[in-house]
Amino acid sequence: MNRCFEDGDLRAYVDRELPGPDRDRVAAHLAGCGECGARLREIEARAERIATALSALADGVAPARPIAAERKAKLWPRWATAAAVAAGLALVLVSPKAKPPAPARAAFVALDNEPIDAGLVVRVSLGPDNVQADVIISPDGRARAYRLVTNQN
Amino acid sequence: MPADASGLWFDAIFREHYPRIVSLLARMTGDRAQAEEIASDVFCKVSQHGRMALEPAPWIYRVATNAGLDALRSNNRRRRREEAAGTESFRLAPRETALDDVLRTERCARVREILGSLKPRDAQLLLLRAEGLAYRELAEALGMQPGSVGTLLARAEAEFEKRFRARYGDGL
Repeated sequence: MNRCFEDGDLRAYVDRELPGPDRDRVAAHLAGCGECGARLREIEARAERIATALSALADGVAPARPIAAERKAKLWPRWATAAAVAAGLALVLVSPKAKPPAPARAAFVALDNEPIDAGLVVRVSLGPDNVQADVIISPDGRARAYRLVTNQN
Repeated sequence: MPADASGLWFDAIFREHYPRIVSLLARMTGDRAQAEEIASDVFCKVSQHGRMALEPAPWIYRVATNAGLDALRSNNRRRRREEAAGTESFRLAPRETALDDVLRTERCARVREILGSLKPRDAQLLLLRAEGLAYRELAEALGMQPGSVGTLLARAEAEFEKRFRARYGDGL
């Protein structure tokens, strides 16, 4: 039990990702090796600092941008536009107060928690199997909700 | 495969992964709208790729982090140009008035700057580990042996910190 362990083994030990027998060997070695113990603490502390720095990136996220000049030309998500155009499908302008474009169907699944005041319903066709879905696009170009279109719709 | 079955599959994948992918991309880019746009492209690729035989999550995370890193680097270049032109304060002025907010924003920009300077695989490893992927998932997503993940992760973290200190003169 004299062999010192590589940084990679110690890093996996910190994450509890070593298989049981390997984990036991590392633990037994650490009990008697101050050098590996010091390296383990250093690796663990660095991992913690970096995890904290990366998770803190969420705090600095700018909210969705309002429509700016540069985005007006790109109001629709590329995939929605391409799919709709390719399929030659109609785009229907709606608001929540307007009559839905079709009889009641499967409920839309919201993609966020913000209320949807107005938007466009886009029928898109995806993939080689032509799976169809309705997507609500808000005026700032974001996809806000979707529902899959089945044969029963 | 019938369209309905494919649709159900895509529906399940979308529900399970879309919010997490947007969250990951928002941290990378610092811009939720940009993150949603990239995520839309990613899921378009998922739909075009068709149903996958194996668990699709690693593939989705690899494609998303690749696209996210491209955007992150592009944002970093724009930020450097703006700083050089003295317009950065303009962009920050409307909301970021408190000193703490300015410092936090600057710190996030530094972290993204260093992420963008790393080898893509190192940056992806750090981001996806921070996202909570297990070593087995990381190995599958990034095409490496599961037994190598600890070693590569330790190196990537050491490199990240080394570059951060070298560039900004202080620790994380």
